[in-house]
Formats: sequence, C-alpha cells, structure tokens
Amino acid sequence: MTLPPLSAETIFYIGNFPVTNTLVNSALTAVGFIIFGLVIKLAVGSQKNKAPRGVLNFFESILEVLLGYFDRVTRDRKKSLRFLPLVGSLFLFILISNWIGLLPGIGSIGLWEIKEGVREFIPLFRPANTDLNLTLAMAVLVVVTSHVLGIAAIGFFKYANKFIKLGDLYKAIIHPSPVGIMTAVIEFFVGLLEVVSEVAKMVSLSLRLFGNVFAGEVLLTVMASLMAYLVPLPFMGLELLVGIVQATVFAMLTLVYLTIATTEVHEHNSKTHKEELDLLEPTPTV
Amino acid sequence: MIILQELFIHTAHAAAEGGNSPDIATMFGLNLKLFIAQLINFGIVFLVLWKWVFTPVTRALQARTKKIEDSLQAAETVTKEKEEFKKWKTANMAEARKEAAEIVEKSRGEAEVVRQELLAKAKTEQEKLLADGHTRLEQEQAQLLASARGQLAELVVSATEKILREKITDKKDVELAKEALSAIQ
Repeated sequence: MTLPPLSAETIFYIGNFPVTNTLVNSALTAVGFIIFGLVIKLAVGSQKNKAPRGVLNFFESILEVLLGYFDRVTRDRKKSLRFLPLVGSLFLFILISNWIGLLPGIGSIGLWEIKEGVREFIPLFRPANTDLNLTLAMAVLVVVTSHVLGIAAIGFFKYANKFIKLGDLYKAIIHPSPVGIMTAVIEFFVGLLEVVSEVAKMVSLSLRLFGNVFAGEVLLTVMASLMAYLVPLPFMGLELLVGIVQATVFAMLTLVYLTIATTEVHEHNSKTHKEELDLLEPTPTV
Repeated sequence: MIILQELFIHTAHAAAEGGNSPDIATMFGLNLKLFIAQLINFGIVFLVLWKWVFTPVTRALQARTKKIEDSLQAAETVTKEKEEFKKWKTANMAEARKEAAEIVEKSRGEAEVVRQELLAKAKTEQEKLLADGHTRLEQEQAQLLASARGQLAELVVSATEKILREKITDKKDVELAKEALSAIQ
C-alpha cells in the first residue's frame, strides 16, 4: 500500500514548470466545465422564449435551489444574484472536483518511478482538492474578492474602519467620556484582531477543504488495501457526501464573508452616552 | 494492523519532516507557479460559468419570471374586466328586459286600439254596404214588379184583343183565360 503524500506528485515538467497530477485533474475539470458552459450557452440560445428542456431544465432547477440557499444568507435576491457567479462557480468546481476523485482510475492509474533508490507509484490523476495550492488559491481569491466588493459597496474609509478603527478613536477623543474612550480603544484592538482573522479565514478555508478531501483519499486507499471489493463501497458513498458537504461549506462561508463585507456596520457612536451607560449597568434582578 | 501501523509511521514521518524543517510550504507542496496555475484553472472555470452559464440562465429565469408575473397580472385584469362586464351585463339586461316589456305592452295597447278602430270602421262599412244592398235590392224588386205589372197589363190587353178577335165560346173563353193565367205565372 502506498499512501498519497501531502504534496501533489509531479508527473512531468514543461520547461521548469512542474505539472502535478492534481493540476491535470483540475485542468480536466476546467475542460469539462468549458464543454458544459458551451452546452448551456447553446441551450439557452436555442430555447429562448420556450419552456426549458433537458440539461437546461436540470441546471435551472439546481440554480433555483442554490439561489434559495443564498437568499437565506444574504436575505436579498439582488445580492444573491450578484454573488452567484463566484459562489456558484466555487460550489460546482469543488463538488465536481471532489466527485471526479472517486472515478475509477483516479489515484490508481500511474507510473512506477524509482526515487532515491525506492520504487514509487506516481498516480497520473489525483483529486484536485488534495492540493493545497488549489484550495489556498480559491481561499485567497475569496478573501481578496470580499475586500474588493466590500470597498465597492460601502466605500474605502468606512470599510477600512472595520479593521483599523481610528475613526471611532478620534470621535471618542473629540467627545471625551471614560467609557467612550475605553470602548474605542478596545474596538481599535478588536479591529486589529479582525486583520488577523482575515488571514485565518484563508488558512481555515483552504486547510478545511484540503484536509477533508485528502483524508477521504487516504481513507479510501486504506480501505481498498484492506479489501479491494465491496469494503470501500460505503466509504465511497461517504466520500460522495463529504464532497457535497465540503463544497457547500466552502461556498456558504464564502457567501457569508461576501455578505458581511458588503454590509455597512452601524457605528457605536450613534448611541448616546446615556444609552452606553445603560448598557454597561447590570440588569436589576427581582 | 500492518496497514494501520504503516499509516501511523507515514503520518509520524510527515510530522517529523515538518518538525525538522520549518518549511511547511514544501511539506504541503506549496509552489507559487502551481498556485498561479491552479488560480488560472479556477479563473477559467469562473469566467466560463459566469459568462456562459450563470448570466444567461439567470437572465432567462428573470425574463420568464417577469413574463409569468405579467401574464398573471393580465389574467387578473381580464378576470376583473369579465366580472365587471358580467355585472354591467346583468344590470343592463334587466333594464333592457324591463324596457322591452314596456315597449311590447305599449305596442300591444296601441295595436288593440288600431284593431278596434279598424273593426269599427269595417263594421260601419259593412253595415253601409248591407244597407246599400238592401236599398238597391228593393229598388230592383220594385222595378221588377213594376215591369211585371206592365207586362201583365200588356198581356191581358193582348189576350183580350185575341179573345175579342176570335169567336169566343164558353169553352174557348175558359181556355184562353187559363192560357193567359199560365203565361202570367
């Protein structure tokens, strides 16, 4: 039994660019999506002003379900439609990449190579999401896009004030009150923590997806090594489920990040000093 | 057991590699070129789905939703108009029926008057014609009687003359008288 390594294996080089087995899989997935895109585009063109049929009808039903879930998070159909291209693409790409990993030949067709005197099996195909490069690329794209859309939606200064709360600090100094200044200082440091959380978002998004799919791949390899027939079947079913769950989690978190980034934060200073004091006072109990 | 043992050794080996070397990026195979390549791969998928799938399909969905909403609204308007027309029709039909009944009643009355007039006129004319007929008949009868009387007188005269010319016997006299009387009759 050869367990898959953490890093994707290089199959060949183009110049000094290493082509890994996960890259092959993600490229094949991309080709599949290009074909799918063309089919849908042609179907939309040919079925204009008609009731949808076949693949278009099926895809429309999927889209309706997706938009229904999106609406629950965004609570606004316009926002859902705005975020659909990115979030929908992530969901479909991750889902199909995960499920492609369960096809026969993925991880089992490969070459035997001798590395450092040891004969090693190098699979030609490996699930795309078992490569941290891909999951990290998607996570970085998501976080960067959420910042760009956030700035576009509420303006640079208001958006920046979410992280570096100099505005609140300045207002607290202009209208000095001990509670106000203390709150502003605390919020300033909370804002700095928000900066750290942005990095954490990328790390958690990428490692969660990578870890789950990689663990599934290891699990299937182990189970297939125990017994080639029947035993891996329930685990393959489980992996189908994990594939859809991970795609949903990634997409939904992305949607949450995008929604939060494009929502304006109500300023604490809009509350009166008395309201703040009322909030700090303990609630009288009977 | 052997498999599980190998798995633990593999994991421990990986962890040890990570522990010895601070380069986690190498352990996970992080590579800027691969990172960019994977980003481009996803970027292609994103663009394809955005331009060829999501945009046209959502546009078609929205257009269809609008069409259905418009159709429903139009259907509602038509139903409302139909209801209004029905109400209008019911109200107007009742009025029209009432008017028609009045017209028919009025016409019937007028027709009756005209009929009565015509009947009276016809009766008068009939009576007049009858009276005229009677008068003419009486006149003709009188004329006929007068003419018959004249003819009788002439006949009596001619019979008398005849009798007087011939030899008159009692028997002959009676015969002549009978002849004259039969002629009269």
